Amino acid sequence: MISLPHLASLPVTPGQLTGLLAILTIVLMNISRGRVWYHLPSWEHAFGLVGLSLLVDGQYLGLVDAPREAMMGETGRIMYVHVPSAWLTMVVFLFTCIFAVAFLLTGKRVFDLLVESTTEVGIVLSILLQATGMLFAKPTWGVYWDWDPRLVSTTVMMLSFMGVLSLRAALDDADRRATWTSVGAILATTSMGVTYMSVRWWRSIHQMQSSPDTVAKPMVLILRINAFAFLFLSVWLIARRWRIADAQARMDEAPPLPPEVTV
Amino acid sequence: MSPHAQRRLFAIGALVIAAGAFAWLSQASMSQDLVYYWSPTELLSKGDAAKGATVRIMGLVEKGSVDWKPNEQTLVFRVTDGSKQVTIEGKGAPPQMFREGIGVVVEGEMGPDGIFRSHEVLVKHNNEYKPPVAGMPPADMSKTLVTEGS
Amino acid sequence: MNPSDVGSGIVSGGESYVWASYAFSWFLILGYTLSLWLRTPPGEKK
Repeated sequence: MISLPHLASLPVTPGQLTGLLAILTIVLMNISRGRVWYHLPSWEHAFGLVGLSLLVDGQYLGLVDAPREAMMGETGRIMYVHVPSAWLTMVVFLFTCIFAVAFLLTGKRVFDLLVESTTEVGIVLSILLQATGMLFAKPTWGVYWDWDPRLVSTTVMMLSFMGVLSLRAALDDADRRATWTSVGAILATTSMGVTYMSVRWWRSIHQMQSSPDTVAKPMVLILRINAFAFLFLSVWLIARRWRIADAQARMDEAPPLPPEVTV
Repeated sequence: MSPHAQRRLFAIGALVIAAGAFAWLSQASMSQDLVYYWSPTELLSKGDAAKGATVRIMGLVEKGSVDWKPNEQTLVFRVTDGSKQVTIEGKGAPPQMFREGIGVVVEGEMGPDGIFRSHEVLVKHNNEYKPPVAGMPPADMSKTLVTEGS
Repeated sequence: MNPSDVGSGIVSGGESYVWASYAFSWFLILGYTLSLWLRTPPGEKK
């Protein structure tokens, strides 16, 4: 694909360099404001840092180190972004459902905000899943898109969770909004399960899920590194999205300003 | 009812509906008119009824059946599901992954002469990914294909 | 594509699809990160 030295032969990997630079930036930002001792960065940046470093090395491995696929040639490399995005879409939407149930059972606001955050990050991941899937399908199957059970169910899943966010945006009352978002999220999770099972239940152009038994060892390792990169980055993005939701919720809850006194 | 009890009821209700819908979908056997593709056996069992309608069939490209004429841009081959074969005739080059022994989904229509005219040939590969190995028999690449779907 | 290649079963070329998928991934993650940064209230940027 590109003629660069293999990752293992480099004295410092691009991912290690990225991580080092990111740590340095965070430290410098804090020192420059004179509050390095009492103002630590939020905990989730640790996940972002690890995720970014893993992603840089994972993508390098996918583009440089990974062998060509026997039949797909260079296009087999799309696997290293397509498969992790598929895994993480499923994992993130599974957590949406878990948080939705947790909210309805406990009524704790944090779970409601996490439902919102995971739904949005899951939608971003499913857009990535669809886009890389289409770019993978064209050179291998021969078309970008077809009306196939797997492709259609993935689209339904994406639209279902988009519907949850629209529902959320349409409800003004905080309690009703939280309850119905969670109910909607639990119902939308059905489409996630159907998407996962679609290649087993129905005839599809999409092959069955790959497993370490069907993928060669060096490819499995690169897939894992990219999957962990996506996992750590997803935790980071969900936490950052949660901070926005939390700040918004606290603002909405703040008592109204006292009426201005006019004389 | 207290808001807490009401929310718990919503949780149970939503979970029951979601699980019910999932279970129903897993049990519902799709009508044969709704499946994404037919096998050659299913297509041939329809006889004349299937002729002229646009359908998809899926099978493996039969060994030694591929006849590609680059000058006329015509492709003739047979797909097989192990018991029945259908001859496919079409225009234009297939996807690059097309070869003997690989799975294909062909969209087109059965002609009155029993030859299937393809509008589009798609490749259905298996879930194996491996680096190229010198002298690897291509047949190995499709061994998990037949167990997929149904 | 060379017409005589039909039937080889091996994809030759296709690098543009690889670059497109990797670039799409990077820009989507970057774009979403940027949108989160812009939506974060000033007091929460830490």
